[in-house]
Amino acid sequence: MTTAIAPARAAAGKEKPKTFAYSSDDIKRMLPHRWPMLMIDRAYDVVPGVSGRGVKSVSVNEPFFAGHYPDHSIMPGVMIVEAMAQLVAVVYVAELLEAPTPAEGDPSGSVGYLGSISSMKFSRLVVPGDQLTLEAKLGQKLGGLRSVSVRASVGTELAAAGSLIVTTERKG
Amino acid sequence: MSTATFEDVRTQAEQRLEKNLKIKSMIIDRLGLDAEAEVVSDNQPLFGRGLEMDSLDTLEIVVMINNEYDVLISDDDFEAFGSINALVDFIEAREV
Repeated sequence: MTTAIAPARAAAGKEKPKTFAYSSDDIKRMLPHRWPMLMIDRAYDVVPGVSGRGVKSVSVNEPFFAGHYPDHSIMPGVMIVEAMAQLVAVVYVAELLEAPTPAEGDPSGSVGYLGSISSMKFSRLVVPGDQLTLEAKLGQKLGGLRSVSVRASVGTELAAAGSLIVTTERKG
Repeated sequence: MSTATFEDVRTQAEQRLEKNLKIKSMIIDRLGLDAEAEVVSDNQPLFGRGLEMDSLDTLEIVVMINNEYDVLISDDDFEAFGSINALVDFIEAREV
């Protein structure tokens, strides 16, 4: 189900963490989201429980473009945040999945909720044809809460960056 | 062995009050609270009555303290959130 894209190797005396890549089909086994709310097409450079990158290709067929806006298609900022949050979920579900003894049951059941959009700055419009490169770095945790730094770019241009808090379990 | 003079003690106390005030201002700014740092008491609880912080706010503060003072607060350190004084005590004990 997963492919190691870089074998763990010792670089300058420091062990490089093993990274994983996940296809769209893999991601559907990791997240409970489905069309039209599955906002991540691929994940790569995933260090389980630590960080990862992902891709969201933005097509004119996205349902939100029908109304946002009829004559001027712009990806809503909150949908960019949703794509970032889904990459975060992939990174922490990967930790359960890639553990030496993976937990039993459906891993997508452990995907929690967005707790806070603590800060977010949008620096570029995202329009049909753009490919969003998503990045997530998990930070400190406290109980079932986890702080994360996230960014999204199109090519070399930053589209959005900020910090979120997510819950890593499903509790009201 | 040296003996602290009255001046030393007074300077220390002033520094501590300044630090408490700085942390109160940081918390108020970060959480967007409707309060003045000067009127928040040093022993006021951070949760419930008092500053009415919740668990999401707590993690915001943990991240803020780590960025500012390079001090980590974990799940087991709940005593750090008793009051402003408790939080500053916690930071001072671990600050490099």
